[in-house]
Order: sequence, then C-alpha cells, then structure tokens
Amino acid sequence: MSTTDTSCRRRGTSTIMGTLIFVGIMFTAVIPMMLVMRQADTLHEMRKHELDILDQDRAMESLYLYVCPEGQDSSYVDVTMVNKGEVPAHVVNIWINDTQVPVDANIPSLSEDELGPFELDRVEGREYDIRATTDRGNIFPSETGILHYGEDGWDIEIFSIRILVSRRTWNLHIQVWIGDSPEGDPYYDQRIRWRIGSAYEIIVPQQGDYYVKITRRWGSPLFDGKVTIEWPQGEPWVWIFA
Amino acid sequence: MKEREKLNGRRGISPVISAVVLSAVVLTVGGILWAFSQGTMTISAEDYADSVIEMTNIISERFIVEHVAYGEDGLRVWIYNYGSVDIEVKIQVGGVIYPDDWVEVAEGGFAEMDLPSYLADKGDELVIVAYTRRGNNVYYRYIVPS
Repeated sequence: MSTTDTSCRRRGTSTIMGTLIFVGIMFTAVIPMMLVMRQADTLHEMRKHELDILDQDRAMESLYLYVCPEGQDSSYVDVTMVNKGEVPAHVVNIWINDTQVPVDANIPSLSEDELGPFELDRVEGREYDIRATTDRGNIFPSETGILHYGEDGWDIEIFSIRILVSRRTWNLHIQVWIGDSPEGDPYYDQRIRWRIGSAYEIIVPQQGDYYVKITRRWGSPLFDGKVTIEWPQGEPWVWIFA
Repeated sequence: MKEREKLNGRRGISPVISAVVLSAVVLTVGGILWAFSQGTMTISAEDYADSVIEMTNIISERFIVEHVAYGEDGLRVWIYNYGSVDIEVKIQVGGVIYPDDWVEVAEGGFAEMDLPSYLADKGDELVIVAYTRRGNNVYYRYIVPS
C-alpha cells in the first residue's frame, strides 16, 4: 500500500515539473517570438499604409509653373508656381536646361508663390527649358513652354485688349490707362469715327491691370472699369464686350 | 511483525532516491529543451523581423531619373531619392552598366552619374534604366537633342 502511494506521488512530481517547463518555454520563448513577429508585421503594414498615402499624395500633386522674363530683354526670369492640387507642394529643385538650382519653397494647396528671379545667360537663338521638381518626385514643366531668346529679345506673347462692340456707334472714344485707375495720361487714347467693323485690338506692353473707358458721343458709356491680363496664368489678351 | 516493519522501512529509501534522480533528469532535459527553444525562437524571431524590415525597405524605395543631359561631357544622369530609405543605385544605358560600384543616394538626396565615354548621335533615343541593389527599377526615355 505504501509502495503504491510513493509511485503515485513520483508521477505527480514529474507531471508538475514537465508542465512547469512547458509553461516556462511558452512564456519565455514562444510567446515573445510571436510578439516580435506580430510587431514586425504591424510595422510592415504601417509602412505600407504610409507608402499608399505618399503615392496617393504624389498622384494628387498639381503644380502649374509659369515662367516669365522680367522684360523683353531682361536676363532675369520669374517663376510663378500655382498649386491647384489638394495637397501642399514642396519644391526642391528648379531646372534651367541642364543646370540644377536647389530651392526650398512650400506652396500650400490652392495658392501660389513666386520664385526667383533666376538669371539666364541670354544667348541668341538659345532655348531655355525650365522645370520644377517636388519632394514627392514629380517634375512639372513650364506651362508657358520653352523660352526662346532671339535677336529682339525674348520671344514672348503679344499682349492685347480686345474690344467687341455689339452696338452700332459712329463715334467711339477708347481710352486705356496702365494700372487699375484712370490716373494721368492714358496709354491709349483714340477716337474712332465712321469705322466699319466693331472689333478692336489694342496692343499693350505687358500683362497686368489696365483701366479701360469706352464712351460714345451720345448715350451712356459702353465700358468703364478695370481689366486684367492674367498671363502667364491665363491668356495674353483680355476681351471686353461693350 | 517487527521484522516486517524493518523491511518496509528499508524499502522507503529507494523511492526517494529514484524521485530525486527522476526529478534531476526531468530538470536537466527540461532545462536543455528550454535553452534550445529559447535560442531557436530568438533566432527565428530575429530572422523573421530582419526579413520583414528588408521587405519593408524594398517596398519603401522611391526614386526617379530626375534629369538627363548629353553634351561635351558625355551623358549625365541625375537620380533623386524621394523615398524614406537610403538606396544604392546603378544605371544601364543600352548595354552599358555604370558605375562598377553601387552609388549611395541618401534619403531625400540626389546623385549625378556621369558617363563621359558614352557616345550617342543627335536624335538617338536612349532608354535609361536606374536600378537599385534591392531590385527596384525606374525607366527614362531620352532623345539626344539635335
């Protein structure tokens, strides 16, 4: 009887010790290993998610680059960048042909920034391709195309105010002032009589604001207000329908 | 009766010894198993974590051929690493692989790679492949200006 009791106790001790060892292995080896693996997987998934967002933001980046010389024969150009995208853009490089110019410009969404002026060497007959690189790896070319420097200076657009008069008039007086108010002598002041046709184009020196007044001898003024030539963001002309 | 009790008392020593021996054996085998498991599991976990990190680095690589120029200095290629990991890069133009050693481009950094001996004719169309040590590629098509 006592022999049987001792044998049972012995088996019990081994079972308990085996169980303890098993539990010990589980807690000190298997579970930490599983936790490490799980953590690595979690980090991987997090990184994948961040990369998805980065790629999505990159696809959403929408930057418009407008390059404009400061004058017909100026050696400096201004670069206007309009961010029409939903995400802010960070420009890291401006490329002028094969020259890299590092910049650091943050442009919030739906806003614009002007960089420069950048100096160009103005070699007659040479073309200047200007591009911008963002930190998301997008490269945006100039919306105004490749600049060309000719013997008369920069080949840029001819700016004009185009007037379409729909009413029959025999005596028009057209006045144009540079700026947003009719101050000083007008840049253009012309009376038009007995003119066949009702469309007029007034060549102006540059983009920007102009104050236009169109009157006739009899009756109310046909137009009296400010117009803006928005080039390079817009067309190099502006229409007035009088 | 007394003799019998004496005999019973003598038999009691061997179960104790055997219990001690058995416990020692169990503890020894268990300890070895424990140490082996812990070592194996640690190595497995580290290997797994390393492989996941490497895989994460592979998918994290982001780079472009930012600009290419051909002139008197030969062919020049600019690489921009806009990703969040450092890369090692080489380029291949036609059958030419350049350079012999990998070029390191840090996170957010640029690298200019010059191939002064590369010859191309005006109007030639070149396909430039930039590839990393981790096996990612980007392609760039370039027409030699006339």
